[in-house]
Amino acid sequence: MAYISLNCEFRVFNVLPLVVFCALCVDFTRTLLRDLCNGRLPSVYIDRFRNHCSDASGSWFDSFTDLTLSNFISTCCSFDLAKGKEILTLQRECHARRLDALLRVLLVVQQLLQENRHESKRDIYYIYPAFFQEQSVVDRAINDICIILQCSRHHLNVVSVGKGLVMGWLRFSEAGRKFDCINNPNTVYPIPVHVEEVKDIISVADYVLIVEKESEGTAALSSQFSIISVSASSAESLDLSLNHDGRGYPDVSTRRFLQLLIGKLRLPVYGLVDCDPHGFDILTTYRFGSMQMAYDAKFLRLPEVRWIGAFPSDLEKFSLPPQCLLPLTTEEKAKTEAMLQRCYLLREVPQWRSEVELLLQKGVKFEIEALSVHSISFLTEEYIPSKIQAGLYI
Amino acid sequence: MAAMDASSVYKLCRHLLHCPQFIYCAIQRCRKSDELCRLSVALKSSPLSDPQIVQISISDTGVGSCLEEFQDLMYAPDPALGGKWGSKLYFGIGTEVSLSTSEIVDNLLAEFTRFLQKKVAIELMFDCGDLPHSRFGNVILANDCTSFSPASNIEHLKSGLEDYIFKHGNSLDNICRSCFSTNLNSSNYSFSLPVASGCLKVRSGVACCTESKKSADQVMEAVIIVSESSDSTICYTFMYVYFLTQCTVMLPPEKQKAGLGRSLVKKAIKLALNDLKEKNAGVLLSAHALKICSYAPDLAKTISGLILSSNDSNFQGECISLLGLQGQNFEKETVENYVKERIISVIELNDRKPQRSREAAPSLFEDGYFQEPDFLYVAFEEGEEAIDFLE
Repeated sequence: MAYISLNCEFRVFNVLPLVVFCALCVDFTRTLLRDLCNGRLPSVYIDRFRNHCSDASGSWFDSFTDLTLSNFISTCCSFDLAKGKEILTLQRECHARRLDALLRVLLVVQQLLQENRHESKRDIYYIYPAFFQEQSVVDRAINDICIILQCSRHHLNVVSVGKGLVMGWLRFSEAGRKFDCINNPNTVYPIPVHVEEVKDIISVADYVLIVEKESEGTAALSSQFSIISVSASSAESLDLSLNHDGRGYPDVSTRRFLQLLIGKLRLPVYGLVDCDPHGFDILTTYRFGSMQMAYDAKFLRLPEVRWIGAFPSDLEKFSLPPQCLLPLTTEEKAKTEAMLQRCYLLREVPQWRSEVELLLQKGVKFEIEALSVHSISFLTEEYIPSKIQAGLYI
Repeated sequence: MAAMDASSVYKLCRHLLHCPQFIYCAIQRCRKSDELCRLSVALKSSPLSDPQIVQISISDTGVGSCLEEFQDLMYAPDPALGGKWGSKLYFGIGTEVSLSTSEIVDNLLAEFTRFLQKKVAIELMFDCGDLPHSRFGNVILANDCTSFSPASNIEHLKSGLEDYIFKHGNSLDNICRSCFSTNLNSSNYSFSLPVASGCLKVRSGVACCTESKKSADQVMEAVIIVSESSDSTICYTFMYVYFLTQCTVMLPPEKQKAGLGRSLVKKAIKLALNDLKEKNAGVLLSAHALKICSYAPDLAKTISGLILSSNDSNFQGECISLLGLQGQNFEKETVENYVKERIISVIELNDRKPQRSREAAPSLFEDGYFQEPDFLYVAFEEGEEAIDFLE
């Protein structure tokens, strides 16, 4: 049984030296080989984590009437508790394939750690493209390794490609390199890939604004008001992208950077996303983390995030013209319905859930840019300032 | 001595005319005698004669010769046979029949050898006359025939299998398509090859069942013969199951209904199959196990890579020792092959286990973990793919 146990305290402090992870890799291989040489079928136990379940009824609260540990674990969607295990063995072909990929990625990781080099997930894919066949195979293997070794991805020296952007009233340094956003408020800076190297954070901003996509509007906002604007990608790059599947979803570096900023600066954080199922999903990814990386949600989620817009209820409040509205597709409706089942909505952000219900009820969507239909400066001069001032965020 | 079946004799007669029939009759005479009998077949060639004449002598020390069995010889030489054959008869202490032919001696010898090896424990001698360097002496020594003792049922079965294929009209060079209908490359395969080279895998299983102290044991022996093609893809061409002995008292009808006999057959077959798998690594693996085995080379490559690229020399030493390798310096391929063997071995081991005792590989998601349509493992939610697509 290949199962590694690691003291969680080390992990919290994030101070494990490379040599420890090298040792963990070695332990894993050793256990695997021992099984093989003793005529046992190797079994790799992988804890499964999730950041929500589909119990939208809120019965989670009722379970506290019976606070036995087993009941608590079985009904509570805790981010930090494993929800079942998967056991990979050489009995099923899909497991053999997955184990094959897992070990191949582990081999790369072991080399990265030994040589103290960093690679992105994409780089790893391109080392053996024919073997992996698709990026998701590498992604899954990396997540599996993180769960087995009980560590975060950056501990494996696997980094994001880096697509997050930051601008506004902020100054910081990363590995000796200075990021002076304050002096160039119209300039968008890339969020550093090695977030753990970020130091000397200084800011006079009043709040942090997360936007789905960096655009001219948000740039104007950053330059006029004392805010820090963070986005997962720029609108320009999204326009160039042929595949919109990943648009606006924050990568690990962006979320870790935000967590660092909020932890250091203690600023309020607002999320501004398109009024559609994707926008809402992006917002939940910032606040609750993603399902794929639920095992690391503790280090990636941002419970401080408040939703500032665009709300489905804005549609009537700001009299958006029909030409700005698009009907929800069948897929989008299905996605919305599925999202409504997420247990955390009712439990933690019931107002978000009400807005999403409204989205489904109205059956139409619109982008942030639609708010500028009456005036180009409406978003920056009226919409956001008024909402913050009146506390119209949820 | 083994009894010949009529069809074998008939087949052989196509080539050897009456010889097998004479041998058959000689065996019958030996059987009738209470004494230990001797049956000899001697081929004597006269290489200097033109055409080359081969004299075949079949003699026995049995009893009860009868002229009718040699009746056909009275009409020889048969013009239909090209006048190749002639014959003589001797009756003395035993019986001896002598035939002469101008057939090619190598063909004759091969046919006799195969026939006698299969059918009878006997001496076969070949005399090359006065030539100084005889090519053949005793082809089958009497001592070699110990393997034809009644206990060697499996050998008889192999032989029977060969006969079965003959019955389907095979010759040495052609394959019966109905017998070998799977993906065989006929150009480099002949049916006799697996038999001759020992490629036939033969194992048996004996199942016993004692009903009560009063009744006799029921014994069922199942023998399974598997021929494996030389193709790298393991391909099982046929499998025959024989029930050699069923030393059983008649089962009462109610017990027959209960399937007691059938369960005994099943048990015997199962034991034979287990025996076959036990003695022949990699044989009769399930298609599923074969699929998983196909991952072994890649897995072995990666695991050996993890071992050899580690900068932890203690770990390396431990792994090398676990693999049973000795020394200091190892080629990557050596380690890889050892790991691969281990992987295949555990897969095989697991495949032999009964289905229910194999470890379950459960999926432990009790509820709607995958309910959301977007939760496919494409990880785009992580967002990095967006930039990857842009690259």
